[in-house]
Amino acid sequence: MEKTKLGTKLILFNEIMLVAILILISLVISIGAPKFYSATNLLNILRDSSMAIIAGIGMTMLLITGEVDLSIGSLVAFVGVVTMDITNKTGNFFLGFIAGLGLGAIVGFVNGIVRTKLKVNSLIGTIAMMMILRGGVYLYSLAAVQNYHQLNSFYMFGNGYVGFLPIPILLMAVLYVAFLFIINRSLIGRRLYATGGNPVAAQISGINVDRLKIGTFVLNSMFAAIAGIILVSRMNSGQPNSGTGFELTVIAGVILGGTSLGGGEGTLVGTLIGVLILRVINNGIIILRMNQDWQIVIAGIVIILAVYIDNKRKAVREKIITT
Amino acid sequence: MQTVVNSEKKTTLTKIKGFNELGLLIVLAVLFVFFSIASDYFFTVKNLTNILGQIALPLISAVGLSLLVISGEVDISIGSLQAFAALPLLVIMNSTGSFLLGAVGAILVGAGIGVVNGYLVTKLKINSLIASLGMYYALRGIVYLITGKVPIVDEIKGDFFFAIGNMKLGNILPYSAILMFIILFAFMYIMRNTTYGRRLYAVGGNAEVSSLIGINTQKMKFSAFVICSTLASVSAIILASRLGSAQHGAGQGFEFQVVAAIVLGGISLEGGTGSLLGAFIGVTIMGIIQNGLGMLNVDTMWQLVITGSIIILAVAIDELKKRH
Amino acid sequence: MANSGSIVLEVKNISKEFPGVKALENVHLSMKGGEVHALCGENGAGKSTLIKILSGIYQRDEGEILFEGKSVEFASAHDSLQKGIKVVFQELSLIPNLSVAENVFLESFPLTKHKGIDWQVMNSKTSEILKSISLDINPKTPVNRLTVSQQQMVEIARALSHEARVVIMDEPTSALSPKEIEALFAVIRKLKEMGIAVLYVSHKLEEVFEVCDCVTVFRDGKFIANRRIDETNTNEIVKDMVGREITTLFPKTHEGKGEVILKVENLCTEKKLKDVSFELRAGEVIGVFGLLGAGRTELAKAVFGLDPVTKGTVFVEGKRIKPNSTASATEGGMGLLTEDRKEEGLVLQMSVAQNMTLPSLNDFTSFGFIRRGDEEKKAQEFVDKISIKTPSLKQKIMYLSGGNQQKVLLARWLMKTLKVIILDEPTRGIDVGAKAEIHKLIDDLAKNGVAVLVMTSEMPELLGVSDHIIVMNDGRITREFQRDDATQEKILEAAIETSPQFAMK
Repeated sequence: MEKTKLGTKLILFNEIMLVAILILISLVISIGAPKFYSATNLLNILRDSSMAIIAGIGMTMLLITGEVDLSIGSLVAFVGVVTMDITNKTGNFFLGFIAGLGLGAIVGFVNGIVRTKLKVNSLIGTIAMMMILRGGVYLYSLAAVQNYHQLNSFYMFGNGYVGFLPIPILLMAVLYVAFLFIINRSLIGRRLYATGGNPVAAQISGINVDRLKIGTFVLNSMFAAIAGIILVSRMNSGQPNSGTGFELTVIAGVILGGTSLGGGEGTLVGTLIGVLILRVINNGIIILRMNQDWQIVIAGIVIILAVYIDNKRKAVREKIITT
Repeated sequence: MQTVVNSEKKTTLTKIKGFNELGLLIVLAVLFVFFSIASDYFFTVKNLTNILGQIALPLISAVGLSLLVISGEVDISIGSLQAFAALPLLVIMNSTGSFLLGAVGAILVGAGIGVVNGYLVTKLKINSLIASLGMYYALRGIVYLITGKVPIVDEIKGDFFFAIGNMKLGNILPYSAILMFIILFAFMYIMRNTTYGRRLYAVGGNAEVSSLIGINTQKMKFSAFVICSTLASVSAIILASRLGSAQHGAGQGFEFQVVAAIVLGGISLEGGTGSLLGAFIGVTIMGIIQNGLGMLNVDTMWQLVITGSIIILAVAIDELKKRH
Repeated sequence: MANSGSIVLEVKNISKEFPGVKALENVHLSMKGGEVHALCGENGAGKSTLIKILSGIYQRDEGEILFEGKSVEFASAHDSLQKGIKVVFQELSLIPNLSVAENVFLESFPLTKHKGIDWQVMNSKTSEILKSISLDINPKTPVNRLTVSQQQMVEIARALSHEARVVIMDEPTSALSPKEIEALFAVIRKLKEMGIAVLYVSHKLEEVFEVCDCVTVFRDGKFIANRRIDETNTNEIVKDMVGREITTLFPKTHEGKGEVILKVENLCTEKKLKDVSFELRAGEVIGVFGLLGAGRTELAKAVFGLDPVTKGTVFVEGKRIKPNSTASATEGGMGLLTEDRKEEGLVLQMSVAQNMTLPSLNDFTSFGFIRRGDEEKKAQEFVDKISIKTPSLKQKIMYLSGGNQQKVLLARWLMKTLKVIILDEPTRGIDVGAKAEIHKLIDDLAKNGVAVLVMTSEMPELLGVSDHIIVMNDGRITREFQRDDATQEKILEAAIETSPQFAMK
């Protein structure tokens, strides 16, 4: 059937096209700077991407349900500060970890309530949350929180290795594979897609849409919290001004990877490649000795481009349905 | 098609609808009284005219943003524009010695960004929130690149440049406030009394019907984008005047404050409702809170928290009003 | 006024086709100035298509439109209004936050010499127009503060500001109270006096007989008859509206009538339903009929818990179902096939199999994960059983034809062991072949002891599948019939009938 071919093309377009773009960009960069392909550099890219990819897992799920969260940047800073602070005060990294994760869960819960019960559009609501958290972190601690506990476990979390693999990459891989399964094959994963694809149909089929969305907001923020804890470990201090622009990299990467703003579609594979493309671009900017401020310029352009392409894709699909 | 709803049900929420301007004025009055009592310095001519000068900055941008939001779109890049438009201002002024040329340059740049935004949204059909989010970052990044994160300081030290942001007429009324009132009244007239203004409301209120009756909704929105960015660049000029330089960090968070203020003032993010008078009151309320809290030595960071909370509250109430 | 009695608007041999449906076939109609002309017909008769052609929203395929004797084309809605034809649709085309005066003069505001809006002129002219139709509103009021009835008047006022010669009203009274209906009639009579030609599209015959001068009846897209009101009666019009031969008889193999499974008591919703009560037995098919605005979909959604209920209870097998809770409804054994499959039924990006199994996922889940093999086996079972045409189970449902999409949605519920199934317009927009298949499925369901509630606006379908018929109008049940007692005329009369308290004087 002619429709299938075009349809399959649209699906495949995504992942294959993205990998092609990734390879292309890598080639271009390595022409200018051959050390791009060194194991150290590639490992660095992966490790730097680990935070964005971990946050991307949560964000992908959230976008699939048709919502978004722009507060994760501020949350990362807040979690970092709180984790360091609690670890300092209790002398126990585990407790600090739990505190950070808990903060993430609470913020996610509030975001979910604001969306489902107060009916505030998630874009606006999480922008507001972004402001609240950014102000809040400075109120919690005006200055950076230094590392007084000097715990090895804390240090290892962000900087340690298991064999040759940095721990953040290992953590990312574990979470990624686990959620790849969960999103694709579990009951909850199916429900996420249904909720984003057609909330009324989902409701009729017995899915509690509000509860699902709140849960997804919570998960999303918890993933961002994990990223925040990795960050604070690597920076070795809880900095209230960290994380700015983080939400952009994550969202841009997720959208670039094919997850639609409208909800109902998206894959972790796409997210992985999308985030990697952005990270590779950033890395390229650094090793080609370009001004680092190009990073946010390019990220801004990419997000516009990504949505534009997304729109075009949807328009083509509409045409198919109505013919 | 939208159904024009709302029979004359006298519920509390319908009363809140008429709440808009009157209720806001009451809130304003209450705040006034509160801060006057709480702080000795609040209710002085000096402080009050200071407030006028302070709110001139967000209000001028708020006028432009209000037009855009009323037409049904939004632009959250106006904060980055504060830094971006200051660049041509300072560069031209420093090299030609003329504040006027610099100002013209800044305004043209502002208009140009408005054209870009308008194009992205009306021609490329990109959601305006996303498009302006992208511009928010792109513009900020370009400012970093061009300035290398080093402020461009005013070398000419001309009188006009200094005056627009910092001096007062007869030592009482800040020039920035005079400019603000001129712009405010001009646009209030336009929105109230011209076909263009009323049609902006139509486009935001019911785009389908508007295009059915022959209004070019895309052109209208495009024009609103240009006006919004142009007025934002006027704010940028005032800001640069106060800073005495073009700062790469200027305007951080500005867009969200302005959005919060106009939503508070009754301009719905859905489009089609609200008035510039309401926006004025909204900005004034936020300005008084800021000023008052400053008088009471409350942290600026609390202001961020409060602003965020206000946005959520305002939008939530807006939603409640709608669902009735 | 001028031109009373002469033909203002005439359509000849108008045809319009949409993919798969001939909406209008060679219809004609002529409207005289100063006359109120009714247009009647069942749902799908072609009334709204004709109106949309006259208002410039659709373009006709064939035929001519003559305005004051001259042939015209309408390029757009704007165009037809400029030429003097105003259509007042059910969905009003007013700008909510603008004032009455602004809406009346929406296309061109009167200006002062400085190009500012001349409020004085605009407001006073608006007041004049409003007075001419006896409407007492301040022209400065924002229209979203007005009642629906007043808003309609504003639309009419807008027509008058354009010196319209023709005013077309599409089902104008569905949201009005009896007093407001009287007010509307008074305005219509005023329009008559002004020499304007009025087209009154409605299925409410008692209104037609009260305010109209003549009536045209369409059926299945064709012109049936034109009669003068004083020379005919309701019975004749009803006969015109339904007088088709029912050639296909639907296979009915189920015996029906087990225990009472579904009991609905005094169900009310905020906007539509008023005290709806009925009982549905196992193995029985009840068909719910009603014309536009009757409340069928509202009933379906309210019973299922999708829409909020203000009063009343729903019982399944004696157990009370929690109101406003779809979860409670599905746990209680109910299923709902919605009217609008695109907006409310299909998850477009998902596959055939995934759409089918959506409410039954728990059956295929172990330890939180879906057993894909079992899922596909089950889906394949149904694809075979009800002949769903799809290249594969993995095919995204958006690529299937309407009929097959509907079958997938139906399979969704067939897969579960349901006690009650509610089907809202199950064969809308589907080709004849698939229609018959779905009717057979309904029969099978009943044979298996499921209680089936079918909402439909298609008479043949209603008479074919139902054991028992409930007719609704304006949110209430007006009459019920057993299959054997039912005739098209009786049913339509019941659909048009208003309850005693709302009867016209």
